[in-house]
Amino acid sequence: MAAVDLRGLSKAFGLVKVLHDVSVDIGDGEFAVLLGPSGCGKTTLLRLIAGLETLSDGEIRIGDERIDQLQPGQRGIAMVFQSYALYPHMSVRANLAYGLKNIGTPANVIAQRIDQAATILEIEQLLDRKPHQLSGGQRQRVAIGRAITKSPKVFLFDEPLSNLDAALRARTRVEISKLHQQLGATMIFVTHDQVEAMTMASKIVVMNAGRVEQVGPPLEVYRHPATRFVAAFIGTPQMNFVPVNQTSENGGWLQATLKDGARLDTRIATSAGHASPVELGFRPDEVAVDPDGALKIEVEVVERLGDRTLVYAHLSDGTPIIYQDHSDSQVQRGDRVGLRPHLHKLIGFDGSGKALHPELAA
Amino acid sequence: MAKLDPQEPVFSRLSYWLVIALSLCWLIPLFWVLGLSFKPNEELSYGLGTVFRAPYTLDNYSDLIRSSQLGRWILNSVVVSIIQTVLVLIICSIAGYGFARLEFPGRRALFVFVLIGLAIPRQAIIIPLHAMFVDLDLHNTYTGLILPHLGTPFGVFLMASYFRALPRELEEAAALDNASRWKIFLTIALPLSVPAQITLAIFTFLDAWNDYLWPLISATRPEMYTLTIGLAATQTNFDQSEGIGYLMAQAVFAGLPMLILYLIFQKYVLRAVAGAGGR
Ligand SMILES: Nc1ncnc2c1ncn2[C@@H]1O[C@H](COP(=O)(O)OP(=O)(O)O)[C@@H](O)[C@H]1O
Ligand SMILES: [Mg+2]
Repeated sequence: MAAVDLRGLSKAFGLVKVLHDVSVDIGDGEFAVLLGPSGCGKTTLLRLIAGLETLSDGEIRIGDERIDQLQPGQRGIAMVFQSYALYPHMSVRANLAYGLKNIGTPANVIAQRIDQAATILEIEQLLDRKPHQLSGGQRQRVAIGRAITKSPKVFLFDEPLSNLDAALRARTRVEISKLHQQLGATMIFVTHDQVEAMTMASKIVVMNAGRVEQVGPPLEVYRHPATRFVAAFIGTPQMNFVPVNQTSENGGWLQATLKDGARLDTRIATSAGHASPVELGFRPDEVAVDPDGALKIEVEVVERLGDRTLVYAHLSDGTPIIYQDHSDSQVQRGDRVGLRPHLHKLIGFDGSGKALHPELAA
Repeated sequence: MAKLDPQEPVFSRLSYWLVIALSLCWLIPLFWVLGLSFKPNEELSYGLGTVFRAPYTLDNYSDLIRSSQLGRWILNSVVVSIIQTVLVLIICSIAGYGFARLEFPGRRALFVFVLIGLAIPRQAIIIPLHAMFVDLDLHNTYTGLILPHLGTPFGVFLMASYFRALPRELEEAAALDNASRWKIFLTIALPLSVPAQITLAIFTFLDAWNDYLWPLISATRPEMYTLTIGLAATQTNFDQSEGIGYLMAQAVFAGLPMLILYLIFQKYVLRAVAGAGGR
């Protein structure tokens, strides 16, 4: 059993607190992605799990064992560094063997493990090279290979794809997902790229400024963002946010009045007793073009992508709006268009950024 | 270095000729010494101009090998320089790594304390050192010649800076690979610090080979002289020496080990002196 249990982790460097009370449960065999903007503390969290930094507060368990006081090597984890951190003076084979040698693994077992890892990653022909004789993609494979040979309980990846070009990144994404299925190990993968998170994760942990904003499966995080930060961070193009001037009730549902006086009906219950929203959000594909729609926009830029059209526009008060139209759309720069957001998709956000979700459509 | 290329701007051609002129300034005296060393002493006593015509002889060299202790002095210099270099490398690597990577109370203060050593000239401590070595009865021994130069703040500083500049992640990866601190030092940090080791080795060896003041005080018996002291002793007794050709042969002989070392380590010496030290 290699579930990873993070309980109330805090970390400060001197007086600067970079992690605040982070608690996450990661199940055995799960692929968890730590997602957040640069500097939010993802690497620090990973290094805490690895034992490369000491906790200021909190507890880390793997399976039933508390590991936060153990030496890095004794935690049953392997880490793939962002820089790969291959030992430059050793051959690929020696890189893969180093960890096993250090725990006194017999030579024949080491050779066997290296063969296995090399086969899985298709790096057999690279084993006698030095790291500087490898391309970026090959180095990355070797770094993963070094992790695999140790057969750890938990794999930690720190933005391993960020140094690869776009095509290779897409391919490697698929390969790491395959590897996860093949090995069935628990993996914790750090990235600031939401596409990586959405495509690979079984669980996404969205982080912001040292705090966990939301934990959940990709679609859940996408459809039911817990906060405005999550709503804005996940999804391309970004969710639209429209400022709300006033709220009222309309048949038990919240009705919002915008700055230009337009009224938007929602399916957010007023009875729930929560604070009233200061903003409404909807995704670019969750609107209909409708001359009678409440949102009156002026088109600025039209991007024809072939399968669909992205329209960049703004409200009369300047609020930017992006929406998605079908591929044959005739919309032009300067057009005035009416938009009607899908009633059941409009999400409210209160002053603290907390999301107010609509009732599900009947 | 670049070959002479007529396409290149005037400046680089100019510097090319400048380099040639400068190296001649250094080479002419060397060839002068070499030439004199092959002349019979009697002839040289008529004037040094005789160097340009025959006869030439190897007598000075054969006299040298037969009559002086030069061989012994060179051996002393080699032993002292090599042992000192090896020990300095070991001590400075370990100390430098400690300052670069280990967390211990008082680390900063201790490092500053070591660096203050840079500001203390060797000459300033030579009298107490002499007294101490008399008490310990270490004069006229290899230990006596080597020991005072083993604490080298410069070496500690150099190695500490170099270790500090190595990517920390390599050592962290090794820690995750179950390597102990000592093992990380030996199998990761040390092999990666070879360029700095070479720089330090060259400086230390040159320093030991050329050292004059301390051996002058510590080695008082001719069989414990290092080369520098031995040569100086012969030359101050010029009246009794067998003449200038003989002296020049001595100088050639003395310079030979350095020349050979330089030819072998040319690349590294250039790098060390240029202060690159790195990749
Ligand atoms: N060793 C350290 N000392 C001081 N501050 C640090 C250290 N490591 C990271 N930080 C700070 O902690 C914050 C989070 O860093 P990091 O975990 O690397 O973010 P991320 O990986 O999400 O980009 C940053 O503001 C960074 O400056
Ligand atoms: Mg990072």
